[in-house]
Amino acid sequence: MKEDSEYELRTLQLEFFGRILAGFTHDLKNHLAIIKESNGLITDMIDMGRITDEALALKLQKITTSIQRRVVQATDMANNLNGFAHRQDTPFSTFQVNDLLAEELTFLRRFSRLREIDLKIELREGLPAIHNNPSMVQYVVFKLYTMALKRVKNRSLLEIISGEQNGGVQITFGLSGEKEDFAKLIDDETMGMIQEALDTLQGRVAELSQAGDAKQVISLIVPSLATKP
Amino acid sequence: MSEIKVLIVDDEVEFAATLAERLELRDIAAETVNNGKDALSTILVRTPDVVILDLKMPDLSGLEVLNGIKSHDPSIEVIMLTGHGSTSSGIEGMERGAFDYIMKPIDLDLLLEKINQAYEQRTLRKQP
Repeated sequence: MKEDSEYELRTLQLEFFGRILAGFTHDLKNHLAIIKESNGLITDMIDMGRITDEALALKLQKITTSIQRRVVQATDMANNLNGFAHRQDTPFSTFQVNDLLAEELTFLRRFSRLREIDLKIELREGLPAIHNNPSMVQYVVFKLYTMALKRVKNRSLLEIISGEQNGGVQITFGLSGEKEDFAKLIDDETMGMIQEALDTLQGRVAELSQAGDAKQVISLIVPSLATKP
Repeated sequence: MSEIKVLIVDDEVEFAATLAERLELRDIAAETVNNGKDALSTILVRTPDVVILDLKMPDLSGLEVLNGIKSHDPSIEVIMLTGHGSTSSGIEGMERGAFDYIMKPIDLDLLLEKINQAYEQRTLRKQP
């Protein structure tokens, strides 16, 4: 009974967090829209010959191009953050796992970048939409991703690949390069943290490689559920 | 100056003003208001061809303003401005008579294309 109410409280907290984040990203996009239009106005003035000093026009053009590029990147991040926040709206829904991964990996890239680990992502086309808990899938992906990063030394390679698996989806985490010392590729601590989520998803995590293989692979399988379990 | 008259309705004053200036540079007559009530009173005195309407505003929502515009003059075309997570509201707007919707931050070329298409549609509607 106590566990049920704790779970409910946690869900409410996540819902609250999602709403705050969604509102924040909406405001952020409004700021970006203003920056983009103001920058666009300067570009218009250059293009329409309103700035007659050629050297100044050239300098401004460089600056506006840089601002434009950054606005596009920031908008992309804000859109992904907004999508991420809205994942809390409906616990169970039908979604494309590639959209989910693209959204989440926007934020996870920085962790591998800080470790100088090359992150290669291959989102295979034509995957079926699945019905499951998208927010929970993102949580499990995050835990497996951070665990995978701990298994390799700097300047290694982590490949994340999505694919189909019996009407559901499979996400693999492939590790190449110099490894850290570890007893088990998938440790008990991580499994302890994701087991409940895996139960909800009716998913499973397994190691596909053998000890000593050059490339070690962790697999996450998420089925498509017919109805809310 | 082209014949197209656009009314921009957005509570973000700087956004509306800057967008209006960019449209003016492209020979489109653009006027701005920053809330829904002003939008509805403006169309009574100066009829725009196209209204660019923000979905989320503090007084009247974009959908409420859309209803007001369409009840006054169904031939005024409306392009809704929506956020990334609010495409369903954009679709709802189209079901209620909006010409189209576009996401913020906007792609100006895309907006210009939609303004021209909306203007053509309004011209056709007005023909006897």
